[in-house]
Amino acid sequence: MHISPELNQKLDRFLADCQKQAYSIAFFSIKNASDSLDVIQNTMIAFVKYYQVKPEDQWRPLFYKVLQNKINDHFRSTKKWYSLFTSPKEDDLEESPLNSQESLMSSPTKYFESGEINKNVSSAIAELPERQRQAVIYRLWQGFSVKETAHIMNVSQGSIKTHLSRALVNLKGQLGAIYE
Amino acid sequence: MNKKDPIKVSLDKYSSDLDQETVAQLDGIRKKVLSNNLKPRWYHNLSWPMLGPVVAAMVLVVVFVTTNQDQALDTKSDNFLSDLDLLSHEVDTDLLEDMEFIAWLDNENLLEGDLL
Repeated sequence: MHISPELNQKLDRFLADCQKQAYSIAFFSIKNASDSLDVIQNTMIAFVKYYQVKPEDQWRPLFYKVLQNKINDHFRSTKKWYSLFTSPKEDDLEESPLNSQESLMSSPTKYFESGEINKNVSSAIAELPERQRQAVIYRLWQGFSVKETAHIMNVSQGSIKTHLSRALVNLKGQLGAIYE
Repeated sequence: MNKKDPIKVSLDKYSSDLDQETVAQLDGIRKKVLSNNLKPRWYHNLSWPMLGPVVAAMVLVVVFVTTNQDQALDTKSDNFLSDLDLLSHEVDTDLLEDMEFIAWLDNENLLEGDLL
């Protein structure tokens, strides 16, 4: 895989811009620092290998699409091994990384140094079901269109609207005061 | 207040507050990916001193299984050849099953070896 110095510089800038947010997205879902770094590494490798030739303006949605696929791959492989030894619980994927003090302590992120509002919003988003949280992250945080968000999450545009609407109802229930 | 604002502000803060160690690891991964000099992260986490005994044990198991299979094949092969030899022999095997008759032939010195 030969990359010209100019393209290498562009890719470096792009990945540097994305890496913190991509890691945060992975960590929100996976809830484990080391596994999240694995996912980021696999994402960067796949992106550089297959999509470096694409026009630059297409890189962002493609990068997050790859990221979401790698997160899903991680869950698939974990589930396969995990199911050999335990009986699966339906709410495993819905558990939030911010729900327990233990996960807070093991997180490399200093979650709540940003004040009470940020703490409440982060916690509320983290507590959303997986799909609702993804819709909020890609649509409201990353600013992708409904179409792009649907492509990244590999669902229909109608599903995105449903997930988003439910997520906002949930968030409003928990953060009502902030929205008034 | 716009619904998007607190969400975006909070999540921006969340990602920008990553600790230095994580950021350094992300930088390292990015540099390695772009320099095409990347080994999987499990490679670095692997306990190499533990790998030797594990590989040695696996080799022993493979050698043991392979050797046993060869011996089993040899035994089968020997049995097969003696059966084949017996079946292709010109002497009538029904005769050999009559032990009393064989004993009488032996007494009378009429067996094949005795006549030669």
